[in-house]
Amino acid sequence: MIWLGAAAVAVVLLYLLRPPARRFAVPSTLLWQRLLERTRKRRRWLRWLLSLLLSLLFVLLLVATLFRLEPRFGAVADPVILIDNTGSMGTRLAADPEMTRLDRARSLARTLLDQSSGAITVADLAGTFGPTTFQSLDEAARAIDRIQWRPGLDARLPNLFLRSTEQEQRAVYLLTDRPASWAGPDERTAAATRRSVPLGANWTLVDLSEDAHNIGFITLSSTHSQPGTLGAPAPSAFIELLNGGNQTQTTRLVVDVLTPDQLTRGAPQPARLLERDLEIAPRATWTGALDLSRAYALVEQRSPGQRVVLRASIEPGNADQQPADDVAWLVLDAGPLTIDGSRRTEVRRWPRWLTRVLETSGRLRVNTRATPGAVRILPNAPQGSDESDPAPCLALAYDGEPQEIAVDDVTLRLPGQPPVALPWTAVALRSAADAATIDPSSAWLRAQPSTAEAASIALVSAPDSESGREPGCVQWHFDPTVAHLETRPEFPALVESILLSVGARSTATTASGPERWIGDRWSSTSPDDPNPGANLMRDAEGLRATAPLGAPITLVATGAFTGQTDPPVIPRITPEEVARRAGSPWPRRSLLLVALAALLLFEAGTRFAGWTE
Amino acid sequence: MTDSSAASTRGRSGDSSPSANRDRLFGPDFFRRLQRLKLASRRLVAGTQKGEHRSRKRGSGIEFADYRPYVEGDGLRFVDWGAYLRFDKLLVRQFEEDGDLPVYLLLDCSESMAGKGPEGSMRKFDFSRRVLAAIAYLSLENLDRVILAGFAEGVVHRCPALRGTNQIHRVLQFLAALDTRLSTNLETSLRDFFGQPRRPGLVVVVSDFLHEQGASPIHKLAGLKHDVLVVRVLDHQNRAPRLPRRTRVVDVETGDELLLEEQPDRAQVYADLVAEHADEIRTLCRRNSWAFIDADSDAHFDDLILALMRSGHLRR
Repeated sequence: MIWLGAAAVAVVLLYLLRPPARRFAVPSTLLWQRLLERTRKRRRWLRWLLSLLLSLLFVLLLVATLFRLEPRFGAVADPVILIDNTGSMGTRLAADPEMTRLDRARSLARTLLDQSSGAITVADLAGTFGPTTFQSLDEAARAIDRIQWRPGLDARLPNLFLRSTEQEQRAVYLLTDRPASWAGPDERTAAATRRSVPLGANWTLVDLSEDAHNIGFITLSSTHSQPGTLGAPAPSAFIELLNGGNQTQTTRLVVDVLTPDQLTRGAPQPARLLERDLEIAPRATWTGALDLSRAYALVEQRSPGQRVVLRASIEPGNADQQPADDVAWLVLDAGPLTIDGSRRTEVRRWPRWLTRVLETSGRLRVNTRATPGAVRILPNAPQGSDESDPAPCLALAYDGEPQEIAVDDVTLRLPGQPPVALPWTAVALRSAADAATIDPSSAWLRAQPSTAEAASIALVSAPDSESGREPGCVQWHFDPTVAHLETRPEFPALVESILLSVGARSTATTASGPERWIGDRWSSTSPDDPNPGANLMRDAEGLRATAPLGAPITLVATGAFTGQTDPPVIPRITPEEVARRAGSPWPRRSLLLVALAALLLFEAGTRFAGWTE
Repeated sequence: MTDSSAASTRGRSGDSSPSANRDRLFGPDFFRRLQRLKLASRRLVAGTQKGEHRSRKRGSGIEFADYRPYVEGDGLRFVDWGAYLRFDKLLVRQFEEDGDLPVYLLLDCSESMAGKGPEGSMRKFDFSRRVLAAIAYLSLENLDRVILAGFAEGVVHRCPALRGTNQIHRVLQFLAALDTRLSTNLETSLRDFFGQPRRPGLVVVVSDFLHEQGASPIHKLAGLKHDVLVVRVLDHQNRAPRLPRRTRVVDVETGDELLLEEQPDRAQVYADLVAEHADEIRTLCRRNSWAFIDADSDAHFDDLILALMRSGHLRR
């Protein structure tokens, strides 16, 4: 306002200080008088026209204000709004934990509605709603509000039943937190693979993913003896923390020992075994061993004979508020372990949507490298120990020799259906067991987006010099946090083969400096392979035997695709851009006042100051 | 009202001396051009008799016009005795009287006519005086009677009627002594000049007509049975003035001022107005079967005269 006032003063001063008109003698002013009269006539007409236009503008704004009419400049006609409401969309926002990504998607969809006109088609990706076309914006908004979160990864593009002309003409907005899963590969990858996606050029992906911290436990296990050490066995815990993000994370690791009473009743102060600040480089793993002798001593001292719970937590943990990897539990039997002692392990990284599945334990099968049958699923432990967290836990029991136990995979078998690998994160990756679950007929490998980072990492193609593969192949390096490779039935014919690799990196060099591959195993599979991934499993076993303890094993999938050229570049926009496109709400009252002021000023100027006389 | 001698004492145009003014205006070049006009006029009017203008007036001419009954006092030599023998009535022969044509030359002597043109260009007043001198010369050559007058708010300069070629020097002397003064009132001037009985003749009005009344007062000549030739004289400054964007124009006659704000199409609008001004006068003249000439003071006067002769405006 100050600048506006100063500019106005400057204009007035310049007007007042303008040089006086020069006098010029003419034989007669007769023609000049006529010229002025003619000009006045024209100006009178202009004044009448301007006055009419200003009055009309004022009346229009008045009507718009009274009837609350909103202008729709540049409205998108007949848009299609697809909302991803699958599992990861239930993630709470880091900036606003009260809201989930789905809440934000709904909000953005309503913003898109404000920029739209005509018929609006709404659908979700879980297949529970739509596609339904609405003629009214209000009805479409209500439909968007009715879309509910559906757990699971089963996101599918709905058949929009569009006519061929509409498929290219109607703008389609896809609101998802997994844009990498839909938008196709980057240009380089697309050029190398000549791969395409069925999304048209009229699609717009609204990226709802967040740059989450993505740091969490990947291992918390106990052992009775340090590997490779001699002498009397000492109880110890093995801890692995992974930073799956792109930035260095600083976190505080706290390990407490709690009794069951403390767990259930919230007893005052747990016994703290460890409290340490850690700085973990991007995509690096921190490993550590903790002597549990003191824990057992505490248990013996405070509640002899009881079982205790070892709780490891980090702060801050995952920002995505998923069923978290930021707390890990380990139930320890009271007293020193004996050779034939029984232990029970609880792992709290189970999605909520498995609640009903776990009610029927017979459908679960756990494969371990332990003695067959030694590890079993406890039938009566579907719930976690922490009653405040209703997330179900998988309870596994082990009866056998004391040894390091790793769960290779957990497969859900449903009657009449092929086995489904559960989205099991760390354990599955340690053994690359998920490779066995990859459907070779898929053309698209999708990472479970526990965070946006994982999804994006999954689509980064490796340099050709590193891959050393023939042209036309592409590699994706999967972050260890990527737990699940999912097929996309939309591309059944595009894949020739998938080459899976398991590699291990030296943990010593992950924090800084180039990665050093200490092992590499490759296994190829094809759509016709009846047992895909079997070779890979074997290779993974061999690699694991040679890799140092705790070294992350990276799964590399290489796919060769054929048939498609000139993949469309799907535009991707951020929620902020959607909001910016919508602009600020139309300031009806301000415009009304401005129009009124302009009208009054113009009328006063023409009538009293003689602007047009 | 002033006579020519009085006018000569107030000469303000150019040099103060009337003789010097006359030399400047009507020098050898002027007479050379005048001789050329004379030859041209002879070619153009070949076959006509000098000074013989048919007249409705009956007089002592040799052309028979009509008979009329004899009245007492008529000369017996005009009685047609043959007709008397045939009709037994005394009829007197009437003859057309050979008369000279009065040529009234009226020059606008207002201040607007003294406008200074661009360097080297002839002022409107000088141009107008040369045009009138040429017309007067041709008229005197034709044995017509030439009456000269200068007008502004009224008739401010008069010259007695002149006849005969040898009177051209008086014409030139009169014109050289004219000056410009005050504003124009054409209506008053015409009433002043034609207030006394004037024989019908040729009236030549030379002016820029850049005053409030314009050329409309000339309309009053319509009832006087004159042939009228209206000559509008404008110079370059009148037709396409170059003014600053924002200027205050001052009327040299009235002193009125007008503020002209910046206007992109000012020149075009002004040019349209100049054309419309000419159209107004042209329409008035056409309505009365008069002649109108729009002259540019930058042109040569003899070209204008030749154009008038070719168009027949200077022939009777």
